[in-house]
Order: sequence, then structure tokens, then C-alpha cells
Amino acid sequence: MLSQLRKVLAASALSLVAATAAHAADKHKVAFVPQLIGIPYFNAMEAGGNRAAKDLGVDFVYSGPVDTNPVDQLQIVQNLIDQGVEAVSVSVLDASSIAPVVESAKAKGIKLFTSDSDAPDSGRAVYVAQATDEGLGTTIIDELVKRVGEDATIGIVSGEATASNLNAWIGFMQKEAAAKYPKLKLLAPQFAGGTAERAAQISGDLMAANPDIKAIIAVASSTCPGVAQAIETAGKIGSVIGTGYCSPNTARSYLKSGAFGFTVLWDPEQLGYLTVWAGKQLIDGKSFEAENKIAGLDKPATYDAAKGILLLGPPAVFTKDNVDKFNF
Amino acid sequence: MTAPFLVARNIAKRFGALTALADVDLEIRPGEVLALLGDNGAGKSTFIKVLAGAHPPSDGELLIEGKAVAFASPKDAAASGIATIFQELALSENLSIAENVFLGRELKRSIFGIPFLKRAEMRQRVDSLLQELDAHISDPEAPVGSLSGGQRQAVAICRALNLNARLVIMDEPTAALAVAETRKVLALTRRLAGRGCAVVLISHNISEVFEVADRIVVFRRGRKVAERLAAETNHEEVVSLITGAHPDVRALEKTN
Amino acid sequence: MSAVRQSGTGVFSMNGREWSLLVACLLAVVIFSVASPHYANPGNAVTVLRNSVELLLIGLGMTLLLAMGGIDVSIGIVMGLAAIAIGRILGADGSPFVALVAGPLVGALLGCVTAAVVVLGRVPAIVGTLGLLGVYRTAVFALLGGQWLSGLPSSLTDLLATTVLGIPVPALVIALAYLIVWLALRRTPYGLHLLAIGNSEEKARLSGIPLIKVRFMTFVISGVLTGIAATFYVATYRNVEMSIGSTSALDAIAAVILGGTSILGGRCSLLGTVLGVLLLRILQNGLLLIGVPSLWQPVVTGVLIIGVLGFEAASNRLPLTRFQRARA
Ligand SMILES: Nc1ncnc2c1ncn2[C@@H]1O[C@H](COP(=O)(O)OP(=O)(O)O)[C@@H](O)[C@H]1O
Ligand SMILES: [Mg+2]
Repeated sequence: MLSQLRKVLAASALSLVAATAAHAADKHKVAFVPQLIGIPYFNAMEAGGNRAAKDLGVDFVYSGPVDTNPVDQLQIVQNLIDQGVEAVSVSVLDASSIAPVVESAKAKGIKLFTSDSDAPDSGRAVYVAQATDEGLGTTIIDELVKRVGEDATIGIVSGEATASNLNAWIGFMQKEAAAKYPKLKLLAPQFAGGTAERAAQISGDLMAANPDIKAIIAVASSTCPGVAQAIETAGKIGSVIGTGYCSPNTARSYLKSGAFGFTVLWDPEQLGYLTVWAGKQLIDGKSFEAENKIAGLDKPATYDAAKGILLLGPPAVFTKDNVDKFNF
Repeated sequence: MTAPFLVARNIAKRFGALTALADVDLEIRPGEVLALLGDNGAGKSTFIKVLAGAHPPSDGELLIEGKAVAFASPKDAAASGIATIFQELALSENLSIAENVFLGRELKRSIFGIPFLKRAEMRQRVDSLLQELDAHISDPEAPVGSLSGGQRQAVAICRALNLNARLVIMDEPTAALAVAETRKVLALTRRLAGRGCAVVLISHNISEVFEVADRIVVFRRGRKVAERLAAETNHEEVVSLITGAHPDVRALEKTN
Repeated sequence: MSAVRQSGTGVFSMNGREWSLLVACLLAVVIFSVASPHYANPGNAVTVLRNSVELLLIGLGMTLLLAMGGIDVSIGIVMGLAAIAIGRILGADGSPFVALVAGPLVGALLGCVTAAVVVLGRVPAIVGTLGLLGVYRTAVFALLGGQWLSGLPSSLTDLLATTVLGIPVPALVIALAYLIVWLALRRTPYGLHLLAIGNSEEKARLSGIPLIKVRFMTFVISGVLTGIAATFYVATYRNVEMSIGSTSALDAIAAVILGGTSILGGRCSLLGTVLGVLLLRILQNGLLLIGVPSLWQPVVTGVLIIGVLGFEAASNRLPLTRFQRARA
């Protein structure tokens, strides 16, 4: 029954796409297919896309599945291709199954590229990336050392031990610490799975086991509230700094209470802007420079021609002073 | 002759395509032990499950003291004075003797509207019942699962007695019992009848049946094929009725 | 072979399993105290007890369900849905007293839904609740809209952080819940009926027990207890994340089985459940404090469960099947 409901919803989403696509046929069209519609992160990307569409004079089509279902997502992409949308970008759910869709896009002369989540071997035109694993890993360590100094013990609370992106970030944290801050003591990462409850329990235990701990990094976004809550409950605000890869909405109250000193992530609004800009660039047949200064973006986007990656720039740092400017 | 306590008319029971019972007419009288005989699969257990409210009949009607009744559950039948000791005993192995004897009809007191068990009273009542039955059980708090076959049968009979039943139905009560225990159970059936209870007994042991039964009814392939007063028949005739070798049964089965 | 006696004579009367668990808890505490200088202190003891609250409440309900031959694998998400209701009330600056009622109320309602599917719909409990798990998860997602409730006001937290006659409110609630469930199980006809159903549904039916009523009631009781657990969850973590409760059902089942309740029904120990929960939480906390990475903790608890059950099965003290007992 549930899957049927999903199909119906997906179908109605498709017809919606058809309606918007048929309208205003004069302008170039750039589409973005998120992993999921209706969540603040992709809403922010949509907002950025709309801003870019206005600035650049293109039509922006935003449509995606109501559930993180790769098959539904592929159907939506295929439908956009069939309608002749000139550039289609996707935050890929299943990297292994997108190659045939890329083929069919190429056959019609349509630019298909990835954004936010890549499918590296699919033949996509470009990958618009939010941040590199290395950037995320090093930024959080550099920012932490600015606040707690080099001579500090730091705990790491991650989510699932199997999440490769989280493990990559932890790897770059450890590399950065070893290379630049020999006195910094990073504790072995702890894995809390997906719940705030477990993250809070682990953070509490970490603080009990290491009375000299200066900071705790919440690696998975799901661990952010738990880490912050544990610092608040232990009465360690001020003596232990929480941080992590947490969205402004998740971290807002903790940044304000002082449980979190800062968080690191990227700004999906800017990523949405860059995505539409890249789509326009592809339609116009223009190539990317090594460094692209874009009027609507805060920082230049760098292009790695060998890997075909257009990078938004260094990650954003959110603090209590700027957090209210963001909503995702 | 006393008026029947229960009358079954044209009772039929079908499980899907399988007809387990057809056209059964039977009268059950107070103070009388009625034996149901028949081969395996003849429909005896199914018939008494209809009487016990465990199966609704597909056809026919039940009258208790002349009034038509319809049982939706074993609880309804119990409320009409029918206590059944099922072949599979229906005892909860994980509960104690007293808990089993009272299960579904517990003695309780209400405190702030919440029913609490009167455990001491139930214990006492069960102790005296067990004594009355002359059943020796060392630990009445032990779960029924730890009792012997005969002891379990005694618990099931206690359950029936405790109901103050007007009709006690026993499905093969002696099948799993040792000789001494069998004697006790048979004596008990007579004692029940002596109290004015109607008793229905299912058994495979014909000599046992002749020992206690007043009347004998034979089932074959879901039908009642014969009814005899125990005093007016004998071992051989009953065997031929059960096997179908008896001329009456042959005649009956030819017409069907 | 002697059958295992129900532990039912007193509120705290102990059987073999319960003694083993108590000894295991004490042993673990002694070992951890020796192994870590940070372990043995009142603060850490409070942490362990605090971490046990939700699982204790859910575990009591799960004990009844398993004793009845039922199960509810969706119960963690029921806690999530109740938590969302509480979180929404707090988030809108609603009265903490209203929030206090919302948890048990939503729990009871969802208990009715589960019972309607499993009991009235005659779907096997494992199948029905597995289906509901999917439905409830989607509901959590839909209600949260991809965004967590974070940094909720502390009004409920403050309310539950008080003490009555010197006893912390959570301890009082747990004690009261234990007593009520124990009375229901061991002193009312309901408890007898529940155990009879757990032993054999058919025999219980033949004994004239109101099957539907008893089974329905049990799901509702479990729902109410879970709703109370949700209240404590929100009060403690002030946060409702997307993955809330995703491990609670299995954790509860593990603790209940560890406590000596038969997964096949008919036999249970409330005290065993309490000790099982405490043992799990003591291990989780202590292992981290002595430096065992959290990654290994599920392994330890898993081995423990297999070990305890395996040992008892081998030594024939565990009535693994009721057929074994029936042959006695
Ligand atoms: N619940 C049931 N569902 C389907 N068939 C049944 C059921 N109970 C009994 N039967 C069938 O009905 C017939 C009569 O069975 P039963 O009354 O148990 O016989 P008896 O007790 O005389 O040995 C058998 O063929 C048996 O398989
Ligand atoms: Mg039979």
C-alpha cells in the first residue's frame, strides 16, 4: 500500500514537472533533482537555484522524489530528459544505476550533471561539489585549535561506523592534527549510530572518562543534538566546546547557549546557485576556469578539470553571530 | 425417565469442504453417564466442542432444558452449566493448580474499581476439591506443567467440579493414565452422575465404558449410527457397530 | 525435570536468573571501578540510572507483550511519535503540564492502532508491527519534515528534574510503573489471562478467557508506558531527531529476554527486565570509561545474550520450549 501511495505521489510530481516545463518555452531551462523534496536542506538549494535563475535569465525546474527512492528519482530525471530540459542536475541517490540515464541524455544533446552527491563513473558532464572531505576535516581542526589551543584533548562522536564520508572526514581531522598540531590529542572516534540518545550517553561517558577533555566533535549530523545536550547536562558549558558538521537550524540553540562554539558545513543556498550557474554554462557551451568568480556567490568556485569537479569553495563556519542568517 | 438436560438436534459441522458431523440427534440426561464411542476421526471431539461452545455448529440446534441456546464461546457454555475437559486438556502449563482451576472465572474483589484476585480463597477452595477427589498433589503452587498425566486430569476435573456444572464432558480422560489413576477417574465419573450431574464420556476402551456408562452412542464418519442402553448390549455388538460390520450400520450406510 | 517456578510470590522475590543478573551487575561495577579511576563516583551512577529510564519503561511493556506471546518491533518509533507531540507543544511554548499528558495519550492512541491491526486484524504481531514500523517511520518523517526539533525549551526538563520527598521524579515514576505492572500481572485476573494466552492461545480460548480484550489492553498499556518514556526522552535531550527510537525496540527485547522472559510467551520476570536493562546500561557506560571503543559494545552485549541463553539452554534450566515442560 505504501509503495503504491509513493508511486501515486511520484506520478503527480511528474505531471507537475510537465506543467512547469511546458510553460515559458522561450528561456533556457536548468533542472535540479534533489534526493528528496520538502526538507530544509534541499529547500535552501532550491532557493539558491531560483536566485541564480533570476540573475542569469534562465528557467529553473526543481523536482524530486517524496521519499529517498532511487527508482522514483531516476524516473523523474528520465522524464525531464524526455521533455527536453537542456541541463539536468541530480543529487544522486544511487550512483550505480544512473549511467543509462546519462547515455539517453547525451543521445538527445542534453547536459546531465551531478550536484551535492556524485556518480563519478557515470559519464556526467560535471560534479558541482559542496566541499571536499579534506576541507571539512581540516577546517574543523583549525577552527578548534583557534579556540582551545594546541595543547588539548578532543573527543570525536560519529554516527554509523560504516558511513564512508564520515570516516573520510575523521581521517582528514587526524591527518591535519598530526601534520600541524603535534600536541593535540584526538581521542579514538566513538560511534553512536543514528540516535541523539546514544550520542548524548557517549558524550557524557567521554567527559567522565577524560576530565581534561576540551572539545567534542559531532561528526554525524544526527549526533549534534546529543553532544550539545550532554555538555549542557554535565554543566560543562564554557569548559568543553561542542562542534561538528551541524546545520544552523540544528545547532542554533546550542550555539546560543554556548554548548557549541561553532559548526562547520557548507551553505546549500550557495550550492543551489552554483548548480544553476553551472547548468547555464554547460548549455552555453562555455568551459569552466580553474577559478570562477561568480557575481552571486561569496567566494570563487574552483574547477578540477582532471576529476571534473566544480567546487563551491572552503566550508562555511557558523557561529552564534551569523547563524540566524541561515535557515536549513 | 427424567427430562433431558440437553438436546442436540440435527447438529452438523463442516470445516470447509470437510463434513466432520452430520445430522446428529442426541439427548443427555441428568444423573446418567453417556459414553460416546467411535473410531479416530469419527467426529466425537468435534461434537463435544460444539456442546462446549468451542465450535459454532454449521447446522442444527441445541436446547438446554427445552430452551434453544447459541454459544458464542466456551464462556457462554460454562455459564449454562456445561463444563468440558478437552482431550488436549486446555490447561495452562505455566500456571498453578489453583490458577488453572479458576482460570476465566476467578474469584475477585474490587479495589477502586480494579479487580484483584482473592488468592487465598481460591487456594482453599482448590485444596478442598483436591481432597474430595482424593488426588495427592504435594505442591499445589507448582505449575501444572510439572504434574503427571493423572494429576493434570484431576486438575481438569477440579475445574469442572468448581463450575458446579450440570453437564460434565470428558474427552478421553483416561487415555494417558496409568491403571490406578484410570480407576480413580472412572470412580469419579460415577460420583458425578450420583450427584445428579449429566456426564458425557469419550473413550476408546470398551470394557471401561461398560464399567461406568448407562448409555452408549456410537459415531461413525460424522454420524450417529447407534444408541444402546449399556445393559441391553454387549462388547461384541459395540465393536461391530464401531467397525461398521453390524447389519444396522450397513443398512444405514447403504441408504446414505 | 522440574519446571521453573514463576517468580510471583513477592514484588521483589528473586529466581535464579535474577540473582545471576544482579551478580553480573555488581561484578561489572567492581571490575569497572578497579579498571578506571573515573568510574566509581555518584555522578556516574546517576548517569547510568538516567540513561536507563526510557528503556526501563519500554521494557516493562515489552515484558508484558512477550509474556503474552506477542511482540512490538515498532515501539521505538511510537516513542518517536509521542516525542514529536511533546516537542511540538514545548516548541510552541505550551504548558509543560499539557506536554506531560500528551506523551501517554499519544502512546495509548498508537497502542490502540497497533492493537487494531494485530488483535482485531488477526495479523501475527511480528508481521503487523513490522508493517507499522514502516508506517510510523514515514509518519515521523512527514511530521518532522526532514528537520529535527532541536533546542526545545527546558520547561518540561525543569518540571521533571524536581524531587518528591527527596526522591527524583524519574525514579518515582519508574517505581510506580513497576509496582502497577507487577500488580496487574501477579494480582489481577488480567495477569493470569495474559500468561495463559502466552502459554497457548487455543487453550486460553477454550478456558473462556476474553482473548481480544486482554491482548488489546496489553498493547495499550505498552503504548502508555512508551509515551511516558517519550516524555523523559524529550525532557532529557530536548530534541527529537529523525532517527529517534530506532534502536529502542531491539534494545528492549534484548533486555527483556536477558531478564528471563520467554520469547515464546507464558513466562516472564519484571525484575529480570529491570536488571537486564541496568546490566546493558552499566556495560555501555563502563566499557567506554575503561576505554573500549563504542564500536565493540554491541558485540559485548550480543555475546552476553548468546552466552546467558546458551548456558541456560545447555544446562536445561531454561524452558526453551513449552513442549519440553509439557513432557515433564
Ligand atoms: N478444527 C478443525 N479443522 C478442520 N478439520 C477438523 C478440525 N477438527 C476436527 N477436524 C476433522 O474432523 C474430523 C473429526 O475429528 P474429531 O472430532 O477430532 O474425531 P474424533 O475425536 O472422533 O477422533 C476429522 O477428520 C478431523 O480431521
Ligand atoms: Mg478426539
